[in-house]
Amino acid sequence: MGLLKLEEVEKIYRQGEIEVAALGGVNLEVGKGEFTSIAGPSGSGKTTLLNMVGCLDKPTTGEVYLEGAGISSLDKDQLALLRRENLGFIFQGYNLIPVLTVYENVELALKLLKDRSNKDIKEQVMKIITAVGLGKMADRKPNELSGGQQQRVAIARALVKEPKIVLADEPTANLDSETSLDVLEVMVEMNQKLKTTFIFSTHDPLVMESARRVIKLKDGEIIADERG
Amino acid sequence: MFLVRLAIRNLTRNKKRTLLVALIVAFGIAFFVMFDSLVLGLERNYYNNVIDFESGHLQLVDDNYWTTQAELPLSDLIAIDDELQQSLAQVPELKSYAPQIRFSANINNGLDELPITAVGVDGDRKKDVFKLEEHLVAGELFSADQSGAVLGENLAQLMDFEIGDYLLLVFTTQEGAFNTLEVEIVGLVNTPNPQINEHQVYIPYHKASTALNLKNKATEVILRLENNNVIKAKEFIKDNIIAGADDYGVYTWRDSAQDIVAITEVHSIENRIISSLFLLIAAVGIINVIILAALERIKEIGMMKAMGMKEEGIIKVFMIEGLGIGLIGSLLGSLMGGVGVYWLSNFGIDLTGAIDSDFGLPVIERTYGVFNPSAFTLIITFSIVISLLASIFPAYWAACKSPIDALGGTN
Repeated sequence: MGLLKLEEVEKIYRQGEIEVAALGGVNLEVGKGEFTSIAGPSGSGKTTLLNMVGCLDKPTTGEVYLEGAGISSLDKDQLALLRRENLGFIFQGYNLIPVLTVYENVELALKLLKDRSNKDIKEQVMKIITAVGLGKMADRKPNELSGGQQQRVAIARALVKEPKIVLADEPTANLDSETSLDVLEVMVEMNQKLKTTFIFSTHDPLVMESARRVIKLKDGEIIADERG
Repeated sequence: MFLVRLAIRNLTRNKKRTLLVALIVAFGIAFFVMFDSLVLGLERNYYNNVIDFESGHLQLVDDNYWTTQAELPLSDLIAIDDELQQSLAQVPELKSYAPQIRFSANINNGLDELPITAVGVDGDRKKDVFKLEEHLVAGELFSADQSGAVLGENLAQLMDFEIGDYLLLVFTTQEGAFNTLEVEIVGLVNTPNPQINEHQVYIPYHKASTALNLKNKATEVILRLENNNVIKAKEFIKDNIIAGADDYGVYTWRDSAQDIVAITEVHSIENRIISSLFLLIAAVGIINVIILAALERIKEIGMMKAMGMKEEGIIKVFMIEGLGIGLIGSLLGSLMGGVGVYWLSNFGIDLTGAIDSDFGLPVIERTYGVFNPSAFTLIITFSIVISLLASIFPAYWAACKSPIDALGGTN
């Protein structure tokens, strides 16, 4: 079994008396070190799929396995622990904490993990900040950075704890094409250097081109799974 | 520590809002400590008035007289014999004692008549037992072997009396017979005790005793101690002086001031209610601030939950923020209250005009505040607890948001 496996995953949302199937019987397997894009138009179920993979939500039916272990039976604290130790997130809107510096924003991810000495934390944080090209901006606040730089901080924050999977929801949606390429470059580099699995949703053709695997969704179902 | 650092930084996001709520907490604290200081100052003044002009530190009286003393009866009196006087001289830390006869009389100036309380007291002892001499504004106090009357300046003005004038006291003797006593006014006093100034006339003990035909009996014996250690003296009197006399009792100045104890307790309750209202407003403010903060930071909350922060971590951050507001408010309130109490303690406030109001205690001197560290401790602790409690609900509300709902805007 791969790093991640989705087996007949179905997600149904209720809106009053109406049931909306956001995902319908999705089967998917993602291996270690993959750089995978989930593509599809708005409403195709990209975000729902990412939420399932990210253990932010549970399927209505079916099962999500992370390293062979199902998540459906886990309670919210166990899911939080699972996310804390295994998953990194990059958001479209960066979601950096404006009152913290670049260093502190990245440090937050490690502070959630127990048993790390301050010395280790400092080394690890500085290493990743340097790796994303922000070594000299560690003391800056997010409002002193460009959009691309902020997304780099978000990437560093997702990667600093060396997660098994990094999930990115439309990571370049708020960026211009030049900056998007720049950010993608960083993600590809980190994927190759750290062998971290990346799964990101997008409808940006530029981003899809960078992915070695593109999973296309339509109306909650996988319509194509292409490997480059 | 990271969560504490984060919470402190969060407080700086909207400084004006944080400061505004902290100021409400501060006003509550400042009001409480200043009001408490003032009430304690008034209480101290009044107790001093009671000790210095009415009851001394201890009163030896017949128990029946104690319960009916407001009517100024001439029954259930204390026999003043040599044995009693020798025993009283043995009371530990005694400064002086004075048998006293209080009786109801009318003062007459030939035209008008007013009901007053007449007090027959030994002229020499009176100086040691009461602080009348310090408040003499005209004439002198009579000595033991002299005749004469001392009365309040206000009463004298009301009756159009001056030093050297003769006043006529009209009263009923112990047997119920009417009698009068004409006495020359030798002294006028103006004390901080309005009761003394407006309703009391002092005459020599022997004159009162003779006129009332009391035969060496007094309504009470006033004891003044060197200090306020009344318990030791009271126990001594109980064990050694009145042990065999079941009718006699010994009462402290605090027993004489029961009404005022009740009034000050009411003031304390009023103070707590008003301060609680301030803190209630502050609590609503804190709830509001935390809810607004949670709404503003909903995506950050979602991000932190996605990263694996548990609900308790989010709750802790918001509660520390609530605590922070409480601490800032406490610091500001302590400073404001401290300055206010310092001002009250050093410059005082004239509450004479409030005597007839619900607030007023019968004290007509400048009231100085009393620094009461326990009031600061109490209100600061209370404010901090309120701040913490007020932040629990919104913190819990924010923490319980599912990460998907919280991140909703990003999808």
